[in-house]
Amino acid sequence: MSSSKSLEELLLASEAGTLDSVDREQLNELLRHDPESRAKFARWQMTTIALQDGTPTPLKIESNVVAAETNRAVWSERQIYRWVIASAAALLIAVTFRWVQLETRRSAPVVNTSVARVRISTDEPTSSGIAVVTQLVNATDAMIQDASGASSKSLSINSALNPGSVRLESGWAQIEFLNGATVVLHGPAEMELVSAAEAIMHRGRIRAEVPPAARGFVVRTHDMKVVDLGTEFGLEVSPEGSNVQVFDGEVELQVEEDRPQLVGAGKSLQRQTGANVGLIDSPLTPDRFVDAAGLQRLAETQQNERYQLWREASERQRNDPRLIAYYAMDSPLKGQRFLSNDSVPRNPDLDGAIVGATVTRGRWDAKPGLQFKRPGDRVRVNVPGEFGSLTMATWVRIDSLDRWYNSLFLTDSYQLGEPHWQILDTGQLHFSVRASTAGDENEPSVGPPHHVALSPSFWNPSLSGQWLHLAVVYDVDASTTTHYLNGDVLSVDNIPDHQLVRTTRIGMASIGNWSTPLEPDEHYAIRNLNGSLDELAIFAAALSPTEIKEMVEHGKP
Amino acid sequence: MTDRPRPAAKRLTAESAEEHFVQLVTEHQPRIGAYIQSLLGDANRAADVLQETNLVLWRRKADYQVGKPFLPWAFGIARLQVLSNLRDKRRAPSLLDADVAELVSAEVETEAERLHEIQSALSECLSSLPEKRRQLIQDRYFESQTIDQIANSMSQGSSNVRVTLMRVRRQLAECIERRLATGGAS
Repeated sequence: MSSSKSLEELLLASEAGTLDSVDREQLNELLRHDPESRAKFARWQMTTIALQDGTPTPLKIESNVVAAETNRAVWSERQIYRWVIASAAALLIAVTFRWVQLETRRSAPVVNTSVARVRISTDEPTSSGIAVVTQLVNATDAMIQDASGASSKSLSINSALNPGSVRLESGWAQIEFLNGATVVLHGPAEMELVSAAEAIMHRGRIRAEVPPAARGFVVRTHDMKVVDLGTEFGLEVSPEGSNVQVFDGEVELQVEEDRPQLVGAGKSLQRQTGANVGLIDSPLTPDRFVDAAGLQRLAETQQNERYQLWREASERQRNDPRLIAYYAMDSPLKGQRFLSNDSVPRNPDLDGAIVGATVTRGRWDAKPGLQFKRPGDRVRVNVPGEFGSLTMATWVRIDSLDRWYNSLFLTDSYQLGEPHWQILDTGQLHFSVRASTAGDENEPSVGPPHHVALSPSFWNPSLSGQWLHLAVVYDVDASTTTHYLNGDVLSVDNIPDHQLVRTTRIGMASIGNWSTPLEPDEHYAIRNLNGSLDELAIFAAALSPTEIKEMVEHGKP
Repeated sequence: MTDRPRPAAKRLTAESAEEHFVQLVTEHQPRIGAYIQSLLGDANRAADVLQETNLVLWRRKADYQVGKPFLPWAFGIARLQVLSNLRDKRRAPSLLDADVAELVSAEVETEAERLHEIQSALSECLSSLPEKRRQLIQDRYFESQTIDQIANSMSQGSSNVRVTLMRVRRQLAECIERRLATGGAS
């Protein structure tokens, strides 16, 4: 026993078929005398089996060992022989057959989520972005196309922007560059974000506010370069050329390499047309450029309109007979520790009890929401009754996903028919309905406990602080679970027959957290959401994709 | 409802006790198989013993009392089959000595009972692995490549791959541990 190997080394060697007799003796001695190693051994073996689960082929072992194992053929004959015996008991064949079926069906989603989807992560979480969208007012077709031109996505408030081209058909977008410059983009416009301190204007108007800390912010156009020296300026790019207007401070203007020119406040210049190089004066028109304060006023008006639009839709929704419970969170929540259920006819028994969670700003200044921060924060509800299909929909602002499981809505216990809706730290939505009875001593557990519908990862830290609409539809008739993000389908998951539960129940449950310790000294898993919720609706039906989309259209901030 | 006789349905009712038993064996097949393979450490040999175990379970189905937990009973029968396989002098020595297999069988039973919880914890843990490590697991366990094959395709030494594989397995083990401890079953 000159060089002793660790248990893991020994087991890895055993899997590879490279375990020699000395190793083997060491492994047995270790297990004989060390209870901890026995527990480790059991867990290791089970993990290996779980890992091989997607593929029925046994692990390949190193080639030299395969050669040594000459009795392999004998083994298979033996197996065939046993199969013959086994087939005498015809039912056993059915057993194996059904096992194979169950296995293939069950393991399919496991393979799907672990292999097909690739998640790249590094040890330290990273984010990317050179600018943030801080206001969008009456914006239409506000898109950003990434630098390669391969993909484009809609702008939304608080979304982080990577280098790429921002387009806006009409309305205004306020973009704050990470170096400190604030730009109000006036549609129709196209601006290319180059870095945290540089942009290229292709067409349209901007008004830029560049505080001293952000000096050196550069905007290029096809015919000039503006270097901001701590100021406020407007820039308009049209087919006729670029026009710069300096409202405050000064900018450095370059129309030719190496010949910068300082332009002070109150000046308006444009490039000469024709072959001549140089700048000429042009009329100053500050009213053509909305500044950040003006945009804020516009934004408030728009917010109010959106809020009213949502209120009307919310009033209609309260009367939906399919509603089980509806927490609109529109009444003044301050100082109140219950969360009223707003479904009509009103049923105060469905009111929730706010525990720990604090009142915060909702999607609009005028509307409150609830913030969940600490491990104890939650809203307790009791929803009696039995249901079939379920739909849950909520507006959520996630600050970060720092728990293994980040709760949206979870029943206290996890019994037959009870749903759990949460987000994994990997950014995947996780929905399951318990499919078997609990491991009761007197009752053999029937089948796997549940089928988990996992969405692809929708979250990354650049979404932090944005209001997102999440919905899940558990459709008993179609045997599917569908996850939605902002009204779009994230994933559709087929539930195998033996894991489909037709009768769902809720009972005691928590919004934004999970369960309570039953004994005073009992530990419980920390699953609180780190973020805020604004509106939660639970329906006893499978809502259609159109209905989910409408909720988003009527409720987006 | 039609008036047509439905013999198939009738037969099912008559054999409902057997049906129930078959259903139990079917449902627990993965766990029983995992239990056996853990103790034997060899998939081919385990497939053999699983067949034998199924036969014995079937022969002794009268001993099983309906309503009692099925798994402990089935594990008990599987354990005897494993031990007799290990004690068979005609066979090549297996991973464990029979006395050691008996010692670890309780732990293995506990783990096999929650095979499904381990599987779902594992699938979550896999998706949180860095890409390279996940690929290594995929090559070795999903595609069943040998360590030498993996080492060749990555132009690395086998011992390097072995060390990395051990680290990843350790990382996965810790992750699964945590998931199970935080109630990962839901």
